[in-house]
Amino acid sequence: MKFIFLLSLFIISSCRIYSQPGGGGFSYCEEKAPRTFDPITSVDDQANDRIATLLYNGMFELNMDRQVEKKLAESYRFSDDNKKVTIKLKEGIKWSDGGELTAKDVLATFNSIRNSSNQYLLRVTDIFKEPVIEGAYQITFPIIKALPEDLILKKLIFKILPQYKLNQPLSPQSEIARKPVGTGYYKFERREPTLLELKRSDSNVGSTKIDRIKVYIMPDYGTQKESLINKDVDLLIEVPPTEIKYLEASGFDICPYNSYEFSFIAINFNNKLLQLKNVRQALTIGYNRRNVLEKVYQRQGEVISGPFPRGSAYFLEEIKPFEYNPKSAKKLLSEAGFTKTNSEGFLVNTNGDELKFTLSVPKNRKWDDYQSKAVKQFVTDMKEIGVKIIIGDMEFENYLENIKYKHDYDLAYGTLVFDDVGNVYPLFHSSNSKPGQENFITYNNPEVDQLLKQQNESMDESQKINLGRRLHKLLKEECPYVFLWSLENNAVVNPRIRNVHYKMTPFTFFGHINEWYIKE
Amino acid sequence: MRLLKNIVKEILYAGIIFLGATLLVYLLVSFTMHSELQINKTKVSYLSWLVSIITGNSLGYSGNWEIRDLLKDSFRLTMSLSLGAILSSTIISAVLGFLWAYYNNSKIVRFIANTFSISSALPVFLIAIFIRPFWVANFQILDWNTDVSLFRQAGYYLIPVFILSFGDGTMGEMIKFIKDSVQNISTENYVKVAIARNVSPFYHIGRSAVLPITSIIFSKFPFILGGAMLIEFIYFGRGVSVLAFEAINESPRNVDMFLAICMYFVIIVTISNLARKVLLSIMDPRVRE
Repeated sequence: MKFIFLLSLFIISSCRIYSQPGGGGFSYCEEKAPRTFDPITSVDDQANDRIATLLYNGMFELNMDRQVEKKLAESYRFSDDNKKVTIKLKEGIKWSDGGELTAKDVLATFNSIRNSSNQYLLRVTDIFKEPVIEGAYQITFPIIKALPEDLILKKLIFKILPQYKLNQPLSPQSEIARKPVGTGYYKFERREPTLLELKRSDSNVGSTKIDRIKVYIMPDYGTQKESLINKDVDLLIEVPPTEIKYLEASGFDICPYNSYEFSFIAINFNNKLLQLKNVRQALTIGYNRRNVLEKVYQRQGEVISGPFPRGSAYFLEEIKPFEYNPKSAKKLLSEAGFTKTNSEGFLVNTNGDELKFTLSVPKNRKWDDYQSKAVKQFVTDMKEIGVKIIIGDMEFENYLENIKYKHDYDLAYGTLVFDDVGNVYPLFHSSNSKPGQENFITYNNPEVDQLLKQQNESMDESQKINLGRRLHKLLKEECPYVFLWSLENNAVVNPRIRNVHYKMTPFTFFGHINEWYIKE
Repeated sequence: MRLLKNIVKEILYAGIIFLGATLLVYLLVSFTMHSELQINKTKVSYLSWLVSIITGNSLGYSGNWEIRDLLKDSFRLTMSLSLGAILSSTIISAVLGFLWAYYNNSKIVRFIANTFSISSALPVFLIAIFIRPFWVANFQILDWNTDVSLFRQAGYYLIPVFILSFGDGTMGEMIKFIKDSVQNISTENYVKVAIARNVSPFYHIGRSAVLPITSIIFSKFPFILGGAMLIEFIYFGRGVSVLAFEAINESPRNVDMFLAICMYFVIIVTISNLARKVLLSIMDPRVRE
């Protein structure tokens, strides 16, 4: 009897009373765990980008208006000839393991970037030579590419890592990738296959009100939503457009933010028919993009006229996207020589060539349903103007190989991230059209080349803007892509989390976490 | 001696099946994913890779996780679900099967047994997604470091286990099979003699029924394993199925991970078949013959 009593006591004492997670903090969901915690080897991993914002800091950062602000830098000074920039770091900044941030860390990080294969970060090495340490907290970057000052500083927003963790080549298996050490508002606490926990750090970089953040890895959106509704999770980074009304009605705050991505249908200029501007314009005018945006994406975004996001200096409000007009599209096609129709109702030219293209579509795990609806609408709209579209669904690996490396396609549906500084040189300059390069449409237009070159070389910001806007206008008319839309993402937040800013991007989602707080 | 010889023979036979299956999987993966295969396609590399699979060392990485650690965590979940489902369906089926056979005329017993049979004809997938919102609301545990009641801990595992043992006709089939076996055995002469001598027939019936029950349990194991992969995906968002899915969607495909998962499944199924044969040969002298 005594034994049973003691056993009962033991069982009762080992039972823990359940309480909501994130009491002093909050929790959010990621579809996949970050592959690494180091921001240098991470490529195309938004989960990592978000965590990196919490764990690390750069010398500079972009504010909500995407302007440069000092973060780890105390001050900076350009040399008179603008060939050097000297940065003085803040003193007393601590790494999350207790060490102190010095200029040596900046140098080691720069060298790690140089030795990495991260194409995005490697652009830094096109601008700067190896920096020189000038004291414990001062470092000078020799500038090898002339750019306006704010663009130079925008290249120095890369996250700084401690040099004593960078003595071996970085890989997802290195220590920093498994146990990150940074100067961010938060430090790494623990990880399990489906859980990451971060705690507030004492890095002296500033104060934040939220004590801890838990990241739950849930591959299925349904589970994420149910966990949110049951208050087990406080924040979903992105929800499908069709869910927004329901979640809003359920009492959650909806935080729309720019996806900073644009969707397009790439046009392969190796195809002779697609070299005809009228045909390219007809594809754009004949596709009812507003209808897709409204019906499929529930108006969560806007139709675009070029590769510049709203808010970019090169974006010109007056350059409106082409409106849907099947009659005009048919007229353009007849001007291109497609005047007759075959027995199936598709246009043919005088040589009897059918107006037929294959559309390569990558399998997209995220919101695949929406993408396939948009593609189906394209096929229907094209049929209406007499263009036959054959869909080629493929795994992303094969898609990338066919499009980027082999240039073996007619049309390709895709999504790209807008460049931070609106630099579209890699996408459209003819010198960049070799296999594997960014101009995979093999676009070659001397006028565009000239504008891109001038813009790239210009040191005058107003001239750059002027050239950028001329580019925008020209690219809209030229239709090297069928520019589709830029979607808005929607985060859903439990209303107990306050002051969540809307001007975030997927990459700087927690950029202003220091202003968030939990409602009592 | 004959028993020992039989067991050794079965082990050797399982070994041959294991080697054949691993080689087949290796060749299949080499053929379909040759561009991503990080291991040399030679006989030696097959052997060295087989050794690393068996020892669990040098399996490589998936992102910043060691594959070994991920597999350990995932297989623990998959196996606990599968074994839990086997255990619960065996116990429930045995009780209901015996009751149904013995109290064939009882309407209540027939109703309960039939209800189980009919319900278990539902696909496990449908039951799982139907019950998931309830489970998420009441039993989901996201962080074991927080205070979690014993009730919630029990529901966290037991609900998915019950769904797994219930779905896809597993339990329904077992109930019917056990009922039929018990009824057949009851008509045997030795049982009639036992009854005539006023000896409880349960011992004899039970002993004889163990053989077919063991057989059906082991034959159901691979199906339950498949169901467990579905359940873990729907409920836990982790487990072997999630790992396999991620491995195949990674760029480039994580062939090391995929191969390791296939191999461990071959090992599990081979061991389960071996265990079935060994157990049967221990329990049934006719098998030994």
